[in-house]
Amino acid sequence: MSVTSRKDIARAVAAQLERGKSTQKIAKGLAQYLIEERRSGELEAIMRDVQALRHENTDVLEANVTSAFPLTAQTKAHIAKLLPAKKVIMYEQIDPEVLGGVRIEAGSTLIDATIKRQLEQVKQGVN
Amino acid sequence: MSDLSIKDLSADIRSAIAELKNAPGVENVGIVTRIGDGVAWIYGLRDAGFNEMIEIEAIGGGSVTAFALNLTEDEIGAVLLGEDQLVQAGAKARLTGKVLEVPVGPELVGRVVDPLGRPLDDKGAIKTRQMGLVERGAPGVLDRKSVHEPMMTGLLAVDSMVPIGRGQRELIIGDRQTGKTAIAIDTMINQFRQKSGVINIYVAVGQKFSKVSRIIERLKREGVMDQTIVVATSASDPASMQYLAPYSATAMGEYFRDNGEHALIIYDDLTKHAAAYRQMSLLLRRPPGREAYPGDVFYLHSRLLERSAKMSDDKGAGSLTALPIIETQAGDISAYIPTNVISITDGQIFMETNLFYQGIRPAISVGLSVSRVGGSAQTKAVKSVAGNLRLSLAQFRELASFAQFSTDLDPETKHRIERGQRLTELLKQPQYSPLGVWEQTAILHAANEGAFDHVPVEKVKSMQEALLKELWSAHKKDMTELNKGDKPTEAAQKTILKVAEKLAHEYELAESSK
Repeated sequence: MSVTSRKDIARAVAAQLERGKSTQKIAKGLAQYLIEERRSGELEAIMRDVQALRHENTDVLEANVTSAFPLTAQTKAHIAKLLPAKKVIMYEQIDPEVLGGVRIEAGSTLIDATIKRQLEQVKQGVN
Repeated sequence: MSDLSIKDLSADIRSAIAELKNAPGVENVGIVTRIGDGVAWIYGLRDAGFNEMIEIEAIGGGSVTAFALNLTEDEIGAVLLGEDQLVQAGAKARLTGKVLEVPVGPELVGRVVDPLGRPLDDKGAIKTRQMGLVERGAPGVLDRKSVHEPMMTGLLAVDSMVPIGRGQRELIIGDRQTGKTAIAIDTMINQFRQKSGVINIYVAVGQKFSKVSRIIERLKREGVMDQTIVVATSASDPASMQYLAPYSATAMGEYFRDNGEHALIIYDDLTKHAAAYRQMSLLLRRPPGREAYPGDVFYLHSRLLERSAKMSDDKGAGSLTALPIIETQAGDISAYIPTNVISITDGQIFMETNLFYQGIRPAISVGLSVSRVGGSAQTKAVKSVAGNLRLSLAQFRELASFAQFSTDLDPETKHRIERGQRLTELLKQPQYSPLGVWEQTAILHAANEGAFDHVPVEKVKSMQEALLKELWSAHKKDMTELNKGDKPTEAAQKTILKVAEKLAHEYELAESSK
């Protein structure tokens, strides 16, 4: 089994990104490779690894932030300060189902401070 | 839970509040990429530790617990402790930062639980004050003491020839249907009859639940259940649960060991445990070795049995005695798992099919059974009379096979054969009737002095019964004294012999008047 590990693919992609290669070219190359190797199902996992590597190497963190209501600039700045990175790229998502609070997903770290999750925990504790 | 008390409820609420307080902590989340056969492959969770518990989101809310066994660069192989139908590919998996723990403590005594300490009986929730690690290191050299107190099984053949001490690991090995479990159950019953105060832990690994419930029923009827914990897994439970059962039961036993008490743990049986581990290992894609067992199948059992020990006085002088059971195929003790466990344990009791069908029950093979450390733990009373029992029986077996070919024998040989036949008869013992120290001592002393020599073989058992009855009714004080375990006094020896000879004479008269 001499399959290139997912980590190695992610490393290659991250290195190319850092060298300033155009994202389109990288995307094309990666797509070709994954289809050829029949590993296109791993794309999401590879992208997560790339994200993690980018955080490690360049201190840039991409975060998905979910909240029930649009966040104020002040709150956003506060959240950015909470995360352990120099630069934070935030993708906002509005989901009324979380009821309140925020959920921050950055790579494989999750900070879930939503009312929904807290209620779920109470439910589990009571059962 | 109808009898929910306010006190319990407030404690629950308090702990729920404590959990809430640290809720918005940073969590590590991974994603299940593949699932099946009780194994989940998870992407992410780079900080996962070996054996760490992972919570996986289940379909329809709630979660399924798994523990991480394979940590690779790209993914984690985790074994589920629940139903794999409840988990979907794509489900989120969270690290808990904890390794597996089970509730331990005296609250478990008298209960039937699963390997995670959840009740399987109808006696309600179990609230223990402590938790114990399922995987835990064995006590070190300085924490131990050599085995020196007896763990009486109540079986004459075992206590006299392969004595077991507290803290010993004695293997019970044999084919199916040879009475392996019977020995273990009798030992448990004896702990109650002799008021030894030893806590019994019976671990059923992949057993039929019909068998387990029969055993529990019997233990209840004998009154032993009140000092017993049963950890049960059936053949239909996930392999992970069968794999965990011995470890979590040992954690429960360690509570007693570390608190200066004595516990006896019975693993029934480790053959099925090895098979469950083999299944898990193969599904985790670990390379198969001999008989398709993984490379660490020896360590699987050695680390388990090493936790049974006699603790030093500084550590409270508690003990955990283990009676692992191994099932052989057609008496082959040189198979992989049997040889492994034989080399780990401090001796073995070997059960033979042939003996069983000859009516010699318990069907213990005297030649192949040994106890490597029990000698120094044997009750003095029994030791004083069991000295040459092994030798007499060995000589008898040799002579008996040889004597079949010759018609006239010299008196010495004839005597040995006669003695051997009677000893074999005396060592037979029905199930659920363990014998106390004084009973064993009296029987063996009488036999050694030749009291049974002229009693017809088929009458030996009935004379044994009469002897014990007579001794108990007429010399209760002497026998109670003897039961304390010290070497019998000259007077006691004389008493036993006098009664035995009187009875033997009656039996001889009855025989000659026929």
